Amino acid sequence: MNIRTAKLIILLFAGSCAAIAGSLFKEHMEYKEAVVASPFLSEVRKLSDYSDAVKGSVNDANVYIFNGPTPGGTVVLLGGTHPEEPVANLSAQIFTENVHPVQGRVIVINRINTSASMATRMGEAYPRFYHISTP
Amino acid sequence: MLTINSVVMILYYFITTFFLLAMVRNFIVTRDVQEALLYAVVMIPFVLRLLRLK
Repeated sequence: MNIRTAKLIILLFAGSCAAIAGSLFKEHMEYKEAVVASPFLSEVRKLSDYSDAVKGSVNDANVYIFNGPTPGGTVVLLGGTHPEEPVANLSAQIFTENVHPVQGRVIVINRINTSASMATRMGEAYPRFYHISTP
Repeated sequence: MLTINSVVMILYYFITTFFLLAMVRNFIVTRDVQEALLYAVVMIPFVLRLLRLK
């Protein structure tokens, strides 16, 4: 086999790898998480309502606000600051789905750092997706 | 108005393009199959980066 044929085969192989990897990365980047909010959800706002710095960017996350029946303190929960640590995002999601404030206010942001969530880390044995069935 | 972020991003893509072109050149001139395979594999993340997929 001459060098030109070998290079052509190599290019086809590398191109196939790039195409497969690229499609997997694209699927991950464009994935939208389903959010099921608790029935006590009072309001959904955007981060850009509080700061113009994120307006129009991918980091303009949803802010879920749950008001209790009586006034009190406010707790803010942020998930997804470090996307490779899924426990925080998962905790925030569980709060969003199940929170029941009896006093004060709970504010939850499930993914505070969406842009980092889109920086895939395949090759480090980190899964693109995980699924957990809830009752 | 160009922000510092935009300038850094543009420079970053210039650097990525520079190294990709260097690898393409090495891929073309080499007569060693193993080296050609190495250059082709190393090019993959640079191509994906330029396409903004990675």
